[in-house]
Amino acid sequence: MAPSLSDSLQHSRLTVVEVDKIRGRLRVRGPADACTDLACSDQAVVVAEGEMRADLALVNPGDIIKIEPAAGPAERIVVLRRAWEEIASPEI
Amino acid sequence: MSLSRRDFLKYGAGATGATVVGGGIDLTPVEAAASTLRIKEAKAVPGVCPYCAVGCAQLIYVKDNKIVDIEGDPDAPHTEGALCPKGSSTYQLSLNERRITKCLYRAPGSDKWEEKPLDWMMEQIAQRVKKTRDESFVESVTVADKPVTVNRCEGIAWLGSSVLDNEENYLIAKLSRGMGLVNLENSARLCHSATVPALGASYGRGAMTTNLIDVQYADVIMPTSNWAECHPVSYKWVMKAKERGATIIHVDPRFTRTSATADYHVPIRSGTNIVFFGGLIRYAIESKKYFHDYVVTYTNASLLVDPNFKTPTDLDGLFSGYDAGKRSYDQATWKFQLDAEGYPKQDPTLRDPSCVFQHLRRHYARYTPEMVERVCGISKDLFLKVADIYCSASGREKTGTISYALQLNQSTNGVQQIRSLCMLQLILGNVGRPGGGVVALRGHSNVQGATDFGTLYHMLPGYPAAPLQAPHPTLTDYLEKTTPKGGFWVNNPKFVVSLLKAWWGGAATKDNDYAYDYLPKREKADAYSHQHFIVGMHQKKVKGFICMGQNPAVDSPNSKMGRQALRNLEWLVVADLFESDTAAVWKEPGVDPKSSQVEVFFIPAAPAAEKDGSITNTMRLAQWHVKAVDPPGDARSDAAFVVDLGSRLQALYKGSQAKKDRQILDLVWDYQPQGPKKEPSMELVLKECNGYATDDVPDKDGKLQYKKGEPMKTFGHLRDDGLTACGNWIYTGIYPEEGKNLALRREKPKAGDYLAHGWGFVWPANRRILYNRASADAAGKPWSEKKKLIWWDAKEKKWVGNDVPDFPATMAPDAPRQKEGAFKGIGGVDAFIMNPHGKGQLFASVLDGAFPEHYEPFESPTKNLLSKVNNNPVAKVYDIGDLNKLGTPDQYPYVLTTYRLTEHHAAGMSRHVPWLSELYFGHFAEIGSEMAKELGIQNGDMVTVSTPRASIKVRALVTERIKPFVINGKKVYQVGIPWHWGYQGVMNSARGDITNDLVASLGDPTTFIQESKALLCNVRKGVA
Repeated sequence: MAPSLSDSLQHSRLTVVEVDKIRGRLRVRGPADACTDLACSDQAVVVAEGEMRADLALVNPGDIIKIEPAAGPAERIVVLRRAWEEIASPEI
Repeated sequence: MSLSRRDFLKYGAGATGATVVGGGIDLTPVEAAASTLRIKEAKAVPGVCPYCAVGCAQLIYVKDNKIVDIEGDPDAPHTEGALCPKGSSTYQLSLNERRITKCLYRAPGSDKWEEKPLDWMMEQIAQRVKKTRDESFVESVTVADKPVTVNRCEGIAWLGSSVLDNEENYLIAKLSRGMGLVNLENSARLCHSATVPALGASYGRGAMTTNLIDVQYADVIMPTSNWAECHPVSYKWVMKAKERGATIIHVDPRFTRTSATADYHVPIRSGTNIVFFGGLIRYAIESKKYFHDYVVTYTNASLLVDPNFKTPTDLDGLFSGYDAGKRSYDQATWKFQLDAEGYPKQDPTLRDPSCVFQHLRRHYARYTPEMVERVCGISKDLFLKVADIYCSASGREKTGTISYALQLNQSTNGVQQIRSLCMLQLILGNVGRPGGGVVALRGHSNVQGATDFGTLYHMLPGYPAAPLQAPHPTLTDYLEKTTPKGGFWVNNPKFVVSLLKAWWGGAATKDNDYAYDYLPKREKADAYSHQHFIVGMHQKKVKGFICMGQNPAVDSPNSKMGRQALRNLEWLVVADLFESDTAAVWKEPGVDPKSSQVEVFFIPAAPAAEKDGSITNTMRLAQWHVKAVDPPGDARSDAAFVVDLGSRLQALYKGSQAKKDRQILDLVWDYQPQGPKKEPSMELVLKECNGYATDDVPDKDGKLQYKKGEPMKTFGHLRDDGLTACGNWIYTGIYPEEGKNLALRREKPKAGDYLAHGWGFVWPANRRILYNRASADAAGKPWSEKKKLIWWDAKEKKWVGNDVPDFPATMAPDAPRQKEGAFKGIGGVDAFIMNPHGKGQLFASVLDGAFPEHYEPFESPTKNLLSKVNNNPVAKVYDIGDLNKLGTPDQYPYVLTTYRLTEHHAAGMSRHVPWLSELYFGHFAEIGSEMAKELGIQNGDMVTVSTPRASIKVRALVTERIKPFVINGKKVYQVGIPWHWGYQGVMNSARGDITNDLVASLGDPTTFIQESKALLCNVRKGVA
């Protein structure tokens, strides 16, 4: 059975645990709370709030991101939610 | 009707007296007489009072299709048959010579109304709506070089109302969004909009946490509004608590009847509540009166904050990240340090300098008793006395309740004013427990429901965000960016997809993202609120306006400018019971009708007694009222107007091939209108709000869970694959079976069920006290026998007790944090299930600070004594030139605050009711005797009150109830003015100048609520 929209949303989004801006590495928490290390290639770009950069300056621990494409080497790291949004009012 | 004017005055006076000792009228003698006179052989129909949000249940007695009497329902557990003067006069909302029963039309420039047929009116209105929609529609914009479908219409504004029913607000939300409208509001924006983000950021839901009946179990109660007079019937629970030994501390600029019942009256300068509550937080921490175990278990006090985060203590009034150019914060440092698994680091000892608790302690270290005295004008001795009493309402055995209303809301830092008391309640362990909680007292009958149902520009029914064009171009973008990673809101896709299915039915498919593009997308966050669109009308950008059950001519801030804005419109539709000031804006005294070309359509409406529907009171209790009689003449329900308009628009657009018209043409819009006035089925609307299966729905094992069309029993069954439709997920369960309307339920409480679960329906899931997991300790045992509510039954392996658990029913106290599923991120001790971390949030992200910080009102008699930043640095100031001039204390030396009265309601309804209007001599300003003496003003003199925006002429009421304050060593006088009056009304005493003319166009940065509780004015004797 195909995963539900809610499940796929949970699985496709990762929580940034640690950012090593010098070595271009991200530690992220993904499905089932498993943490993995991502090495970002020179080709990968980070997109956040309409801005695009070739380094990890736009990413912070606690941010919620997704990697594109979902499989294979990362080409785009998209910042979806900022860490502080997780402590904002969940009711708009 | 055999209740004479004399009888009404007699019982009305009784009510006022009763207010002092507990609120409401003792109906016993009335019923005894009535049983043989008025109501003999009359049918009793369940009703709900349409005035304030206590939600007094009524019995409407009907004989021969005529209302003969309206009384309080003695079985109602929260009101026990009582009604205040307003509730006692609801009879005159139906039977009233001033009631308009014919459709009225005012042609552009005309000086008179013309009667027109209902059908003609509706057709004209539909055509105007279509024309303006077509002319001002924006189908697509370019964002970052990509086209984004936005499908929005900016040329029309629609004001729903918090005196309309839930179903009516739902229909307005649905049709207006279905037309592409983004200018959508109801009166909650102007009264309690700060409540939602304040309570939401603190606890997870933007609603009152507790239940009025439960107030009786508080050990200390701290009202910060005039509860006894503004919500009189519910004040009985305060008085019951007092009978049980509770202490009452009334915090209010004025001495009122609430003060008269209190043990302590704490006069406070308007606009300084954060200093008072900050002082209490400091006192609770330094005196170690906070509830340590509760704080460690249930709040985020132990979480470690980013080391770069700075507070106004460090930065002299600002938090880290302030951008003066943008007048906003970059909140990059407002976050937690993470452990190796990406969860916040904790220090359960609360000693780490980086933990929230220590930040809180440092932040409020400046809020000393001396500072409270200098800023608020409360003597140090009095402050320390009440601080000791209130902060002692903490720990296992004691709880305290705090109530608030508009004194805290209507401010340029309204959200933070409310949050400051929410935080105090968290550190004292007063949330989720009997006798604890926060009582948000709403002034209109359905503020809660109108908010829940999304007649607000920024949100959809059930609180998902209204999409924005740049971050939310597609459904995937929208869900990815608005859905948290933890807490119950991870189910957001189920709520949103089910809503889209309820609105666009078969046209909403997986292939078209469930018609997500039909939803209008906002251009930006700083747009479309009530104040925004009134300014838009003034600037002639908004051209058409539908106004239902609200009176912006009087209740808008800076309302003199607002009335000119209304006259600038091309067309205006007003649906109301009476000719409101808004309907008559073109003939306002002093205005030449020829000067305004606005075309006005007046639609006669029906009060609650003449229609079916539900109203959600201030404690989230939805009660159904049954149509008792037919509305007279052309009058009909607001629902009938909305459904009729929607049907006519669909007919006008029929055959259109334009893509932009699909949002209206595909809207599911069949509510089975019946009879000559086409009254839709409100039960059908309720069922849609509740949710239903759009097809046969299997459970996870493949067995049939719901048949197609069957109502949903719980929001836990909603789906994100299109198999369920649901208009408002938080109300799911209100209509769990075909024909079973739980809002209509009026069962007397069973023994031991003091929260009366059989009366109406409380969202969510009939939980009467929110966050009630926190009524037990970490192990699931009640903190004390005296304060028990729910607890873990280890044998049954479930939560049991006196309320529906606001927690996963079978999640054990020692359950680890859930890694997947509907409660992802929540573990056995995470009582605040809506928050991603499951904790009550002392540290939270709000636009103007992670903690509440005091800033002076924009018009203030003093500089900020706490920092160099005088006013909220991110507040909204509307740019309308000289129309929004601000006053300085040299020219406007007096603090002005506004308030309301027991006998009048909001902006107009009561002014058309003779029984109420004759209870006041007219408009007045309450002036302290010392100030009056200085100005040579005698009681009853006419005076002129001025701000840079306007002047009003009122009578002076010289009293001892308002004392001067000593602010930073200087004497400051305060003036109080009620705001009910306008130029329309049944008698001279009901007519008067408009208080809101004095108010500036300013807004809280999060909600844009106005600052009408603390401004500067001048007062002089005479009116020349």
